[in-house]
Amino acid sequence: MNALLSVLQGSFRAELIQLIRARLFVALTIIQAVTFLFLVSLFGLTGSRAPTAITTLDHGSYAREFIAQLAAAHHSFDLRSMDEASAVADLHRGSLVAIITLPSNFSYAIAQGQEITLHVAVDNVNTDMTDDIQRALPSAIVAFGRQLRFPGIRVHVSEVDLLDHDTGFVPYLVVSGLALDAFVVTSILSAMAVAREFETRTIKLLAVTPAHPLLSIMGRMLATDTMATLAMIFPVALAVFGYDISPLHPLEMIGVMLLCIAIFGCIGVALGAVLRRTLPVVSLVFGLGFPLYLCSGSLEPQRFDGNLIWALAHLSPVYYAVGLLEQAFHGLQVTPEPPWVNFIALLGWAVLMLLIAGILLQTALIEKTAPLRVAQQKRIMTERLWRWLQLRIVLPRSRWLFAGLILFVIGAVIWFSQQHYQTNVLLRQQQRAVLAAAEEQRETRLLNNYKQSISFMLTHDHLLSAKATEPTGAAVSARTQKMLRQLNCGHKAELLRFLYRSRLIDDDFHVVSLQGDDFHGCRFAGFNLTDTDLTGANFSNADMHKSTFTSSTLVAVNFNNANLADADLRVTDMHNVRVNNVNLARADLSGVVGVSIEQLIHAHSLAGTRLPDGSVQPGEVKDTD
Amino acid sequence: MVQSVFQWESMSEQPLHPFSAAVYFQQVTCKIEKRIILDQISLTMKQGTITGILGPNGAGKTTLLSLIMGLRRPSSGTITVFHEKLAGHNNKLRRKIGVVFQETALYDELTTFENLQFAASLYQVSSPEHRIKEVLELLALSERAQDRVRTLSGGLQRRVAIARALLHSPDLLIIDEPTLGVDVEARHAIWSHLRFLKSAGTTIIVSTNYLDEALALCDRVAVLRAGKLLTYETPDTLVARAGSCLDIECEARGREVLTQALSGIDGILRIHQTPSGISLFLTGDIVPEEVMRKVFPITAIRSFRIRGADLAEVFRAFDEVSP
Repeated sequence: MNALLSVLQGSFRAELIQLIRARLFVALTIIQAVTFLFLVSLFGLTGSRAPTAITTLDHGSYAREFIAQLAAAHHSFDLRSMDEASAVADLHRGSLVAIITLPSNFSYAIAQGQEITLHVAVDNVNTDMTDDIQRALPSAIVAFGRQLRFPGIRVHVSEVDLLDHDTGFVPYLVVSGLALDAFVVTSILSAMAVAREFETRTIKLLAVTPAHPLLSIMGRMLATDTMATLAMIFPVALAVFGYDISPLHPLEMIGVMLLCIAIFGCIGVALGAVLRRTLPVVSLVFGLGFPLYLCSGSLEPQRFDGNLIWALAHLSPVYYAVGLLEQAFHGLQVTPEPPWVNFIALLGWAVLMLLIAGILLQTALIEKTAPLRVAQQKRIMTERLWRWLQLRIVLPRSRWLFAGLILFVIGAVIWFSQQHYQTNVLLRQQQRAVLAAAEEQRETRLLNNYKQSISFMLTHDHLLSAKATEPTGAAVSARTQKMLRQLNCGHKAELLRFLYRSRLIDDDFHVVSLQGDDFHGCRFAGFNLTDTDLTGANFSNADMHKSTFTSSTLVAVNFNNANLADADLRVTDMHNVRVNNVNLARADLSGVVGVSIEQLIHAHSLAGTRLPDGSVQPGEVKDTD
Repeated sequence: MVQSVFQWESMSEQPLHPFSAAVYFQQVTCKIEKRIILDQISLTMKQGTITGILGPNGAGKTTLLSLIMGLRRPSSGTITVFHEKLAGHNNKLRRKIGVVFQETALYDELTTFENLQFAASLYQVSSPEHRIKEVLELLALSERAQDRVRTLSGGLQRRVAIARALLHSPDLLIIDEPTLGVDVEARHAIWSHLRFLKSAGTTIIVSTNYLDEALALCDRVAVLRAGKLLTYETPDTLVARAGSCLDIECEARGREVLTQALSGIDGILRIHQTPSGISLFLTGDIVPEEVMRKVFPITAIRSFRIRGADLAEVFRAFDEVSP
């Protein structure tokens, strides 16, 4: 035991002296750790706060309110109030991403409830940024409308807080960056220590001494890990004091960092043993570090990058380290696995890497020149196991086994990711079905409530005697319009049928107006809408074949692209009707007023159509139903 | 030195039992990736002597030493060191062996003392501080104890490497190219240290590609070429086999005349034509002056000189004996 400690202590001391004398190298390593933290936090800053000019030709209250909403609504903007000429010059110079111009009649138009057009000029140098601006603008407008309680703006945001505090993106990135720091710093230090032994051939000295070389390397790794721990104090201090991120569980944070340093130290030893040169070690650590970091859930709290990457991330210790560090700092559970699973996985990694580092180092130390005769001899079990592992992992003669193992792992990963993908697809389908069912139920409930309410009014308030222009009629019309906006096509059809049957849109009673109501793309095939008032309704793209509109008022109705094949449109009033590309095959338009042949020419089909003058157009068209 | 050689010669006439040898090789073959590095080597190195492993680059010298150190394993054959096999990690045996590698294998950023301190921890040397001071004094390195190794000259670094190898008082010292890249003065200093160690009873194995070094140091020399053991004999026998060399410079047309005239004379082993004249290899039975007396009447001679055969000429001698 004393001999073991003596070797460990001697190696530890020698390595520590060397590291202390290589001050520049250690200082650069610490600087790397700090700059990495800055680097990863830049991911959070890039793409936000795009310089955007606001040029207003109106100084009214609504304009001021709108600008305030723009400034507050989204972090995409870094609004700068400028005159038009300067803004255009800056946009062309590249110092602005966009210019939003408020016209001089902005406040007036808002006050009058008129539609107003905002001119937004964007450059396309960075399309992501300009897309951000374009996405942010509507949200600002919606916020503006909500603030002023404008009608017609319906935004219902329901935020469910899983935690009692919010976590910013930059603090999230900085914490995950600590895992990257630990990987880079520790791996480089330990890999350099091992590679240097090979480069300076001092490894031979370790191989010929009575002390096992692995023991000496372990002593050196302890020294590099100690140095890495000291180096990690700087980025952790920067995170705590610079970024103001205090760990919720400091002891857990320290424990995870130490575990990470132990694992990454072993990875460094393995890399050093494989490469045996100091120069490629640094390149490889950087080359490995960033992919491991980026595909380990470092950039967002959940796996949004696809199932394959998510599955592959499980092969990286950084994944579990990020999961545990986010838990320790922010109390976030950012992996589907609970923290204890991540901890066990990380421990498993530590054991595995220690074993792999030992095997690779042992193999690198003694280059065997002859087929092992060990199998012919009696060996103790541990040595057999040792050789077995070497055969299967390192020795060239077992390359097929090794290749098979690699293929198996790749196959397992692909199978796992596919399974996971299919599960996710099923899950999403189920979620969509549940949401659709919930929406269906909600709409059915709304519609039933509406019908009950209107039926009550029909019975008790003599609704049919009211006119659409009277207060009761106007209220019912407004309510109907509101209802229509909340329903899907199926329920809209049901509502229309209800209105028809309750005679609320009857041409004689004229209680509810459908002016401006949207039935775009809905299916009303075979509907009977005889003697109804559909003035101003939008039936564009609707399927209304074989429907009956006899004697109805269809003034200003939008039938563009609708299917009115075999429809009965006799004696209807079709003043100002829009019939572009409408299918009127075999429809009966006899006695129709307000529509001219010039208008009907724009129809998609008039095959077999009976025209208002009673003449029938030639041709037969296959029924589209 | 002369006396020790004679002792060796007298003893070597008796077959040396493997269990009384420091290092024993029996039919040892070593392959690296199907390439034969050492082929059927058998030799016995006696305790308390200096054995030279002589050969050009790539002959297999370092591989042979690696086998003794336990860095490599033979593909076939048996190796024993102090009657023990070096299979696995034989700690007891490793404590008896000190190694100086060709590339010194020192930690440049550590001082001489720190390098020795680290080695002392690996060998678990008792009273390391005291022992380090002893070996530093032995190799005249006390004044450079606190200097970083990278600031030392090649000769000093080699001495530090020897000091490190002696820290645990090994019975067998293996030195790969002891004077590689060191100046003449340092070379002689190292030789004198090695002779001192031998006198103290340490068995030393030295690999070198300098014939003069083998002659100056070794009791017996194993000559390797392309992995084969050409001979294993005393340096004097080796030199006698190659013969002393008489270089004669003459005009071009005189070379052929001289070659024809001197061929077949007793005491002349071989005649090689060189760009400047001819080289004659003489046995001990004939003195160079006698040869020159025969040469002067034949052709005009610009100059002549007498020297020992070099390593290439030794190999050529082997080629001519057994082509």
